[in-house]
Amino acid sequence: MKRTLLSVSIVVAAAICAPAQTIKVPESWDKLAAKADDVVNVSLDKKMLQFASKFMEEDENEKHLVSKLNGIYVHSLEFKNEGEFTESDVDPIRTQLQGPEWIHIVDVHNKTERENVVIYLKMVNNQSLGMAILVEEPKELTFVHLDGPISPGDLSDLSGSFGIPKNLHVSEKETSKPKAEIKK
Amino acid sequence: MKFLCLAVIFISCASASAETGINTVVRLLEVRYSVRQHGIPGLWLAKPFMIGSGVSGMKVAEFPKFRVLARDTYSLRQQVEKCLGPEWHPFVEEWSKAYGEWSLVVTKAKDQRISMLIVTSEHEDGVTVIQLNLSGRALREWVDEPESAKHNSASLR
Repeated sequence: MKRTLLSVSIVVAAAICAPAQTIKVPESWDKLAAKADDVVNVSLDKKMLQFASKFMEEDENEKHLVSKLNGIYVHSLEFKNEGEFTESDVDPIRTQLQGPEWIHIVDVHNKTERENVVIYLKMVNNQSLGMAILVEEPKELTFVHLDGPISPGDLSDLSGSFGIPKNLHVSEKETSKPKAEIKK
Repeated sequence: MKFLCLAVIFISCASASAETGINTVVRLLEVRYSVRQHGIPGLWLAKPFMIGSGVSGMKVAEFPKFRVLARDTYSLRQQVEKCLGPEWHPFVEEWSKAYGEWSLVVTKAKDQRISMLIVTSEHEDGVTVIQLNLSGRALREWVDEPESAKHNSASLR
C-alpha cells in the first residue's frame, strides 16, 4: 500500500513539476542564439493567458481561444548575415515533430522572399491539442509553439500578437488536404 | 571565494520573505556583482503622469556604470528566477548583441492584478530593475507586442 502511495505521489509530483512546454528547444538553438544579433524568447503560461484574456473585450474569438490555451512560446533569432544557420540547426526541432501525434499540415516555400513556413498540428483522439510553426528566412529563424486546443483556422486570430509572426493565415479548406498552402 | 559568494546568494534567496520582488533581485545583483544600487530620488513626482497609463506602484533601482556580460545572462536569469520563486513566471527575454543590451521580464498574477519585474542591462545606462503593477489594458499592450519589452521599459524610465 505504502509503495502504491509512493508511486502515485511520484507520478503526481512529476506531472506537477513537468514543464508545460512539451516541445524542447534543442541545445543547438542555444548555440545559434549565441551567434544571433537579436534574440527574443516569449513565454506565456496558462495563468498569464487566462488573465490577459479577461481584457480582450473587442475580439470574442481571440478571447475564447486564448483562455483555452495552456501556453504560447515564441523563440526568435535574427542574424546579421545570411547563412549563419543551416538545416542541421533546425532538424532537432523537426525531429521532435515527427511523432505520431504531430501532423505536418502546411509547407510553404516562397522563392522570391526565400522564406519557408512549416506548420504542424498535434492531434490526439481526433482533437487538435497544439500547433508548432517554424518560419525560416535568410537572416531570421522563428519557432512558435501554441500549446492547447487550437485549430488551423484560429491562427489568424493570434498572428501578429504575443510575438507570433504577422500575416499567418490557414483556412480550414486548405488544411483539409495535407501540406496545403498558407496564405502569406 | 566562489563558494562563499554562492552560499551568500543562496542564503539571501532562502531568507527572502514570502513576498519576493524588486528587493530580492537588487539584493541578488549586489551580492553577485559587488555593486550598489542607486535609488531614483523624486520618483513620486512622476506618479501624476502615470495616471491613466495603467501603470502603478512603480519602483526603480539603478546600477549605473555596470552591465551584465552576455556570457553571464544565462546563469543570472536562472538565479533571478530561482530567487523570485514559483509565483513569478518568465515572460520575455531579449538580447541584442549589436547594442550590448539584455532584458528579462517576469510576471506575477495575484488576485486581479499583474505585477511585472523588468531587469535590463544597457551599454550606456547600466543595469536597471523596475517593478510595476499593470492594469488589464496596459497588460494587453505588453502581451500584444512582448518583443518590444525593451522599448516599453525604456519609456518607463
